[in-house]
Amino acid sequence: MAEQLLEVKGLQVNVEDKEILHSIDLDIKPGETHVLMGPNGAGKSTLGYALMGNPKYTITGGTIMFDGQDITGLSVDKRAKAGLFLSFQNPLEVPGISLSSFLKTALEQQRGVRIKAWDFRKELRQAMALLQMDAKYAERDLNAGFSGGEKKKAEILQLLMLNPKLAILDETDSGLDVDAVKIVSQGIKTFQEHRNGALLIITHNTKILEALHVDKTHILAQGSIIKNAGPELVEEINKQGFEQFLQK
Amino acid sequence: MKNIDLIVNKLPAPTWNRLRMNDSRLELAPCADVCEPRVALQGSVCLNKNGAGSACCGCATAAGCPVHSVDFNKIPTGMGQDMELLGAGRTLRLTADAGKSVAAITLRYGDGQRCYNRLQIEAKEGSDVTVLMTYISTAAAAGTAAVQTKIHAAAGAKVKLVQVQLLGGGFVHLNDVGSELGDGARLEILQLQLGGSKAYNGVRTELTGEGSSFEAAAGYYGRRGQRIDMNFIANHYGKNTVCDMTADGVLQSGACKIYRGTIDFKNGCAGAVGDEKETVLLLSDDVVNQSVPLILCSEEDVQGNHGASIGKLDEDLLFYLCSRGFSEQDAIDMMAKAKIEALCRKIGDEDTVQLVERYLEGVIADGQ
Repeated sequence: MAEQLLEVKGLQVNVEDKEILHSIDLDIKPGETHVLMGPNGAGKSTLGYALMGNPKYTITGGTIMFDGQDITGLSVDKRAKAGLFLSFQNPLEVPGISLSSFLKTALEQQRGVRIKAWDFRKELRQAMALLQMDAKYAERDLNAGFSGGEKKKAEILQLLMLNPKLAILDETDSGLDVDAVKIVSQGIKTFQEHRNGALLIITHNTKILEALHVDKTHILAQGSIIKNAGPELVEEINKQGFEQFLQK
Repeated sequence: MKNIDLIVNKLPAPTWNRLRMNDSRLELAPCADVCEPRVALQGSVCLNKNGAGSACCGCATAAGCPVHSVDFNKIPTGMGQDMELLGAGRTLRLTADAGKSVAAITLRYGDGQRCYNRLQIEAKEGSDVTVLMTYISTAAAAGTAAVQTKIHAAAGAKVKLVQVQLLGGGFVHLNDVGSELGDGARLEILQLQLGGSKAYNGVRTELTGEGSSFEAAAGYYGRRGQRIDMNFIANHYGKNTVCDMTADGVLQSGACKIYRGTIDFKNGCAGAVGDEKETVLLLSDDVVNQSVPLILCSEEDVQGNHGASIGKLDEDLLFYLCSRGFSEQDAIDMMAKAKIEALCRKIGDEDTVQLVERYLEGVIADGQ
């Protein structure tokens, strides 16, 4: 196994002709949890999308190594198959495909074998119970007509089922009430502790981090990482905001 | 024998001729072969192969029989009068008595066959009948499969007609439907047009009875230069009549589709409501998509709505699907299949659903 799971060096990302991210360096080891914070419009989501390979974001410089492989030019599906996962800030509705059938097909794609319906249902039931999701959601069209909270839970459900090596959570806590944050956080903790999954958590809200072990914190502002520190930085930002770091 | 020239699927009110959307013209070899339908009945429905009298009601001829008194010749159809040029065809008559019943009719065509079948459905007062029609052949077969279905629904009758077309790539399919609805009668039509090289489909409903209702849902998956030609007409005569017509499909690899949808509020149909909605998913740049929504109105107190959503697969949705490990092609296939499967869920017959699913899997596996 590579020492670093994710190794980003000098990453520059453009949206159309405008450079949004400037020379980003970021290393994440297997099983580590990193938190990415920063003011609105700093480029946090852009980094998440660029790592996942969204074609709307053009990489103009630098490299992304993942699990020992250069994925800078790899297609989105191949990055997912390599073990990268992005939990969307605004999950899309997929009419006509039930959550259950979507997940089963995705798992079969990932594993390259047919999965027995019984085994799949058992696994799905357990994961849904952990996230306190009504079992009926499994047969509803993915995200179609789901509330904001249910959509976010469905994202974490996919995380638990697909079991990637690294999950990027893009403001998974936004729009969730206090109870829902706790439940979602529990799901993330299961991924972190029982699956030894690595995490890059993009957030404004430290509530979701309360139950989680954090290894490193980064501040992204105006397209650059301006501060790298340990978990204590979260508390510092919570108390004093980003202003002091921006001034430096 | 000479070929027959047909003009079908005429718009009730023509638009500019230069648009070439007012009707469709085709030339067919005579339908001289016989396709013997396989019929399975369940509940209070009976069958008479010649349409003149029936063992189930005990009459010898249609004349004077209260069960077989409906004159189906008077019921107009969506494809129009030129269908008469195909001749008498092979006629079946189904009569549904009060109570629930199901009739499953399978038309299996051989390669090179040219057949014309006619079905007359008489739904009597208090009947609740589901008629499942499946048109099938082998994947490589060619021929002509012409089918006309006429429905007479008496007061309070409920009819659900499911038509599933899974013909081989060389078939020309003509699917012609006409119906007349009495007071409070309800007709639901669900169609899946998946096979054939050319699929002509006309559906016309006369909402004559007060409070009668008509719901049509058509689904198609056009590919390999296929032509899909549809003409849906709902004529509102009775007060408080309701129609809801939807067409939902996918077009790729040179397919061509035209959808004509007419809601005609006739004088006297006060309180009538008509809706038509179309959604088309365009999966390649070489497809032709034409739509003619038409709402005609001779009555003041009515409500007619039209909506259309036509476009490519959303880029963000494609990214979302790919982020879960699906290749672009798999994601596109999955969304195309999902559109048809959403309609499949309304069929209500597990065997037919499985047949459609197997057909779709074959289509996708062949990269068609």
